[in-house]
Parts: sequence; C-alpha cells; structure tokens
Amino acid sequence: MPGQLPNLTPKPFVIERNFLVSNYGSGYGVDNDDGSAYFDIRDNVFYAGSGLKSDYAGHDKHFHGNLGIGLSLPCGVGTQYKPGHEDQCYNNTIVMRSGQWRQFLPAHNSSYPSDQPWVSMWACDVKQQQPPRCGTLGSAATGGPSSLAKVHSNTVLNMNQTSGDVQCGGPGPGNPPMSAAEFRGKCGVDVGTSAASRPGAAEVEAMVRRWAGLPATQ
Amino acid sequence: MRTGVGFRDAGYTYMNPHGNPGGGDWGLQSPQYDEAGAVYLSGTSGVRFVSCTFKYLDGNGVFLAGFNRNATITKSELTQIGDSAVALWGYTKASGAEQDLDGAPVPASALPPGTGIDGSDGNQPRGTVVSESLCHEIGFFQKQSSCVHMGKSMETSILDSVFFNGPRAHVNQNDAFGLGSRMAGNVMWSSCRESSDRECIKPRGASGRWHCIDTFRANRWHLQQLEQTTIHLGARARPAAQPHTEALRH
Repeated sequence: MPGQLPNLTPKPFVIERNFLVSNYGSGYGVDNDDGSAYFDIRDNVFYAGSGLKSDYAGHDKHFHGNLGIGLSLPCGVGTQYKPGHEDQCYNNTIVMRSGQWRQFLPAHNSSYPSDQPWVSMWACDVKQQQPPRCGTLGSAATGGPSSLAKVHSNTVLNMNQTSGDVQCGGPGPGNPPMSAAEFRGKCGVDVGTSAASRPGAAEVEAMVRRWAGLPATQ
Repeated sequence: MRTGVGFRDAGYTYMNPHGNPGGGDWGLQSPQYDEAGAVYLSGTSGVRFVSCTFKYLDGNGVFLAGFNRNATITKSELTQIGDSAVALWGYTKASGAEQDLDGAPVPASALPPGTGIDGSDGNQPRGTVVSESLCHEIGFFQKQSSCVHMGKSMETSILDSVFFNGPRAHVNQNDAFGLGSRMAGNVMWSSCRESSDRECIKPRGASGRWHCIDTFRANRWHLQQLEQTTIHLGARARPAAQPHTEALRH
C-alpha cells in the first residue's frame, strides 16, 4: 500500500474449480516452479499430468480437495521447509496413471498398476529421527531445522500397489519407494490411503461430474 | 443494441525491445513502448472490453503496462495471435535494501527504471479481470506465449473462460509480486503444443528486473489515462458476427 513499507509476503493465489487437461506436452496442470509460493490450489479436476509440484525452494502452497485422473505424481515435493511454511497436499482423490501408460491410453483406463510412487519427498531422511522427524536438523548457519511437506488424508485409487507409495529421499537402487504404512512407521506421517482398485470409465466420469458441478448423466 | 468492436491486423513485434518482466524466465516486449500490444493500456482505470474480438494480431493482444486498475476483458475471443493474448507488466522501484549476490548494497541509481523490490507506489496492473472468454491459437511467432501473462501485477481474476491450443503454458504467473489473484471455473487443454514438460498454469518465484534498448513506433490502439471506458458489444453479441475495425492494419 502507498506509504507503507514493502511487504514480501503476498496474498495467496487461489486456483479453484477449474478443469485442467494436461495433454500434448503438458506435464502439470499447475506447475509451481522456480520457488513459487503462497498458492491455494483446491477443488480442481486435473486430467493427466501431475499434482502438487514444489521445486527450487517454493513454500506455502496448499494442494487440496482436488480430483486427479491419470496423474503420475499427486504429491511431489522436491524441497524442504522452514517450519510453519510447509507445502501441503491433503484431501485429494487421485486415480493413478497406469504404468507404461502410453500403451494404455487414455491414461487411467487400464488395470496395469502405476509404476511410480504417489508421494515423493526428496529431502526426506529416515535416519533423522529428531524433530522435525525425517526432516533436516540444520544449524544456525543454515537457517535452522527444515520440515517435510505436510501430506495427509489423500485417497489414491490404484491397482494393488502398496509397496511403492512414498519415495523418501532421492530415488535409486538402494532407496526404493516404501509403502504408506512403512513411511508412517519410520517418519510418523500418515499420507493417506492407497486403494486396491482403480475405477472404470463410467465411475470416473461420475466423479468428474461431481467435482465439476455438472449434472449427472441420465 | 450496441455495435461490436473487433481488433485485428496489428503487425509483428517479436523483433522489438524485450526484457525480463520479473523472477520467471519468460521474456516480453518492453512495457514502455506502446507497440508492446495491439491494444496498449497505461494509466487507466475501469477500462472494459465486452464481447470484443482480438484476432489476427501478430504481436501481443492486450498489453497492460504500469498503472492500470480493474481492466476487464469479458465475453470476448482472443485468437490467431502471434505472441501472448493478454500481458501485464507493472513497474516497481528500489527500496534501498537491494543487495547483490554477495550481499553488498546496490544503490538505487544502479537499477534500471521500473525495477526494484518496492511496489508500494501501486504502479502496476491491479484488479484485472479476464472472464467468460475464449483464448486459442496463440503464440504463432513467440512460443513463450500465454493467454494471460502476469508480470509484476496483482489481484488478477481469470474466471469462467476456455483456453486451448497454445505453444506453452496458458497462464503464466511470472513472479511473486502481490498475488491475491484468483482463477476459477476455467477449462483448459492443449497447452504446450509446441514444447513439452510444462503446464496449463505456470507460476514462478521472486521479482526481478527488465531491460530495454531501442524501438520504433507503429500505429496501435493506445489507451492512456482513461476512466471508466467501456468497449462494449452487448452481452448477447456473437463474436463471429462482429464487424472488425481495421484501424490496426500496418
């Protein structure tokens, strides 16, 4: 405001009730890149692409209440956070994209299970058990401790994938994804449930209509 | 019943002076030159485009430079556009707290005009509304184009619109200036038709600076310091039936 000191904390950018289709070369419905922060992304329908993206030290983004169809990475977190400024991914309903999805287009319309975790936290460290658990202790010189993103209460519809829900730390042969239950035990975070089935086309259509506020088919 | 207005046949500007509008990595025609957009708004308040057609524009469509308040584009169609359909680029100033990468203070005189981290003088587009509109077939020449590009602007609303067929992101939030924006009720598909890896909506981080060199002037709609101006076709006019003005032919 005129006459006041500049304030580096913006108002949130609200993205709600949109229907975003990530066809062609699009990898995200909303690509929160390059440190973007203070976004409230809620109640949208995303088709294909990915969900929350947190990259290059972004923070304070809330991705919640969304419906994702054929998504590959609903809660992708490539950074860590000053406590109180975590990104959050919660209350989303996700129909996972199948593995080898290019063979099964449309991407959700297959019984082939996803071959990717649905939560990825690259800065996660299961060996670090002090608060913030599985985060980074840090020091005064590095700005203090860093937390993980807050991921909870999501419902993921997949095909019997329970072993590879969460990627904690960088992926690699010595660090495979773990199940949601295993991650809960090691880091104390309940990311949500991963179902053993993926809905068929008619059910997906009904879900989209419900989310988008469209009338049901006769 | 009111008569419709269409805007068409503006020339290309991809060789004009460009700069970096902010913290993102998109470039854009420098905002101090009125050929930055076929329709160039600066110092306006309450300008409204209702049921207008922006078509066959080889540069940007509507460009909002510096101070603008509550500009509205509604029930309109923006198509066959060489660069971005709607572009916003505000001005800031030095706060006295700027530092270089080593933490050394940077004097205000070292910053180009219109840059710095202080936007408290309000010299930016604020309250812009794009609603109930169609945007498609854009970025014919400049692939780093979007239906709405937001650089150092805030409180923009993109509502109930349909965007499709673009070369890159349909909406680009290029920095973290102000925000307070809202997108709701939109349908978007077929972004990134001529690139990959990206998105329907592209937000980015910190604010930055722009540079400029030289340019030439051409005929464009140049709307400066207008108050409550409405370019109105009537809510029920169909874009396909609108006559086009040809004032922009180059």
